[in-house]
Amino acid sequence: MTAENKKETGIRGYVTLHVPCRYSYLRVIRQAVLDLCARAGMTEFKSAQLEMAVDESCSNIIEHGYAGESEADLEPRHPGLRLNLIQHTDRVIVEILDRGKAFDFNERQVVEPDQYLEDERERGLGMYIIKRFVDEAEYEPATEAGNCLRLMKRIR
Amino acid sequence: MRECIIQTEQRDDLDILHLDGALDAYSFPRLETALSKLREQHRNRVVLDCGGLDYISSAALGTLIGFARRAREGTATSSSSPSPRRSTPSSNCSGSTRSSRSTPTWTRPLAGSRAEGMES
Repeated sequence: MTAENKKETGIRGYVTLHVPCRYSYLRVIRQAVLDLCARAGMTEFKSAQLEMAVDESCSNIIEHGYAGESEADLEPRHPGLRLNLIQHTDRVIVEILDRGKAFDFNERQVVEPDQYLEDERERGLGMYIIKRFVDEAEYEPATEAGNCLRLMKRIR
Repeated sequence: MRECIIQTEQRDDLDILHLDGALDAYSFPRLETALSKLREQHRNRVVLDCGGLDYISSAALGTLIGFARRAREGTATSSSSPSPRRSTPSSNCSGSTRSSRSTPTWTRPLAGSRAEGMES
């Protein structure tokens, strides 16, 4: 991307990750998100919220989209997860792309924390974190690049 | 970003689990294993020391909630102390080291901490 293009789009920086479908790479992803948020001048609190939303999203993709981690011997041919971390002047956007099973993002219910605790659930808080900890969350299944979950967090 | 380390300390009939680093979808099975061992040994008085915890995912939080429920069903106790440095904003723990026979002390502040976590 040229300097002229960056100026036109308001993009200040970006990172692209391609990681295997394995939970052990979640910390790599979280660290990249935190680093870009710090570069953007986002507060620690907001950065942590975006970090958590991305972590929960990626965990869900591995568990539900791909039905578990990839086998070591099949890993080179596994599409894994691709992440585009984009720093704009006023926001950070994380696009998470996968080739797993798509799901109906809008139909997926959010369990509020009070209800979660009242019911003593052991699962189900992830979607709350994904949808509530960012300013915008959009999901587009089966694009040319795969299923795309796009999370946006404003810097200020 | 530190690797997850879980250390268990026994004090009479009380077990203290010192949680350090990040508890995420990769590392939370270690917590499940540690808690399962305690349950198998009928050691249900547990304090979670979250002072060194950098990160906790919803899966790990669910493990803790599940253990607390099962421990309570076994007329046992659990509590946590102190809060993780960074955590699910809705999961901040009590900071109390006390344990209660009837109700796990760490579940009470969870509902009350929601507003604290909703800055945006």
